[in-house]
Amino acid sequence: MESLSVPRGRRARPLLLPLLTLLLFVLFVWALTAGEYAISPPHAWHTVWARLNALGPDAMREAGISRMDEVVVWNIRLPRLLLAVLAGMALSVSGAAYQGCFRNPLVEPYLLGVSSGAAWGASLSIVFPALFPQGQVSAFGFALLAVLLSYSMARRDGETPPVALILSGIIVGAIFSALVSIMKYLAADTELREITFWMMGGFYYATWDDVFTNAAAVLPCVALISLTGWKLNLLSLGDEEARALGLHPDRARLFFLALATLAAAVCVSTVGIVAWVGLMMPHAARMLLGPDNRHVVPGAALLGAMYMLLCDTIARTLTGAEIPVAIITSILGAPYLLWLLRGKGRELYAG
Amino acid sequence: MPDKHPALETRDLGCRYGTRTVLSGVSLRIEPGTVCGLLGPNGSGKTTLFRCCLNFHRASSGDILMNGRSTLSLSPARLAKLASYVPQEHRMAFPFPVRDVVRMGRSPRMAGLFRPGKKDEEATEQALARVGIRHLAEQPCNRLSGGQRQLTLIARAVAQEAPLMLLDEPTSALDFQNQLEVWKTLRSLAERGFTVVVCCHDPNHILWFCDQAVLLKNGRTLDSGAPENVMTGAALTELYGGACSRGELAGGLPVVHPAF
Repeated sequence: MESLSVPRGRRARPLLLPLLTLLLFVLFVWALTAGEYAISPPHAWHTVWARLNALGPDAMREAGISRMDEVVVWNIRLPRLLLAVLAGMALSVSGAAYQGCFRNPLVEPYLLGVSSGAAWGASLSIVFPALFPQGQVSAFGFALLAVLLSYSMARRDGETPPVALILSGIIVGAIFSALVSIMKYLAADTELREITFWMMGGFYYATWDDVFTNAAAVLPCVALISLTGWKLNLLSLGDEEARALGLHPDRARLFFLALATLAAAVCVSTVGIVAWVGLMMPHAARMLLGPDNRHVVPGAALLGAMYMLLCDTIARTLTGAEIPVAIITSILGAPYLLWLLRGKGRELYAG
Repeated sequence: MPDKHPALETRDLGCRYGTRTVLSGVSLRIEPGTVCGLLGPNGSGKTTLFRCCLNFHRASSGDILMNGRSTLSLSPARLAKLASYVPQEHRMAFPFPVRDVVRMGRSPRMAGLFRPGKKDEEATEQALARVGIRHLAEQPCNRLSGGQRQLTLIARAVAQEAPLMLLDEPTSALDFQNQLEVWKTLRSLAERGFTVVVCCHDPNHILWFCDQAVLLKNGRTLDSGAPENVMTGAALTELYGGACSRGELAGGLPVVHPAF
């Protein structure tokens, strides 16, 4: 039998992942120092390090770290940036997982109605805290309901045409948005304010508690989807081929849908609806790394984190006041879908 | 018990979609290392037979055996080690390069987290070489011609190393040269020990390239055996209502031609 060597050249692409990690770190440090209150990168790092080592207030003042430094860096910026990183990861990884599950490169949490479903679940817990004590749990439940509704509405004779899935996602999203409006109508003044601000999508009220809950939900989901990227590849071939290659398609899809929806729903219930990230970043990852989900998923996580950091930093530094970050992602994202549908981008999804 | 089991055997197989009976009483035996063609008009149940063999659809009665073992209740992971599937040539949602597509054939043989190892990479290269598409390995599959895509899917089935290979109309979308290319590849795979079962719409291809022909009509087997013997004028009339008949070319090659 002839012996055939395995070519080595293609190993270069995964090297991009450490590079992206490095870039994310650089961006993070830049974002930590950007803003109204000027602080140098070494000093910002110094402040973070002092808190990590649990220095007391006196020791910190001695080390030249003012109370203001501490509040701005540790209490305001750091949780906000970490939350942006987690939200970017959650939205773009769930976008990549939905795209593989539905064999449809055009879907993402917002377009599938997942974000609106989660928003409805979360607003229920704001208005009726007695009935829905856990905002994240009801957000996850209704988000899962939304994605299953969109999917079953678009599926016909074992096929799910890409554009039909987008349409049914828009329908489901519209229904849940209307339900959220009913909640706003019923809500008392303080609750209304809470719902409205949170729905706009943004990281202004980020706290360390938010960071911890999001990290606990998002990081395991991202890790699991990354590790099982190979199964996502098989699933993206279609149910029959996946089965013929040894995968149980329904079980695998449920696994990916549950993880992707959990990550997206927890993120939406904290930061509100931020659209388009889940569409753009998996595409960018595919352009850089090729279509293999073993690389696309971690790549999308890193790119999503960077993109969200960048958008959020623009949102809080561009003008004197804050712009909700969702406005920036939508202004950048909607034309991108148009480009995918009409322009050269068609090649990217083999349409 | 005989030493050698048939590669694929169905016993009195029946299948229904809702209340409509699509297959009934289908019994056939396909010997290992042969190329077998399923012939029948549209709606004769060929595709359903395939779908039942691959557990895509549940048989309502009878049994399916591969190498002597019943496969009806096997998990996808275990069935994928016995039988591979080559779908009709189609577009993929994501433009995987040819090598990635072929490597996916290794999935049933990967353990744990589904990561291809060194052995899988070698088997992938072997499969690419066997089908003769190594030069296409880096090409994204949406840039290939129909024939090249079909060969890619065949290479994926080769990499899967399942003894039985089921192909659903592998030549229907191809030009004549590519059709012959695919059949030549299938013959060479049978010589390597694969058992190849092909769903096919061209009776001539079955006459020329298959060791066995199975004729299906209205969900029943009409006949099964060596193509020259079973594809008689009478059988063709039964299948296609007198639209064609058997003849012979000058060199002695059997041929099915339109009944002028």
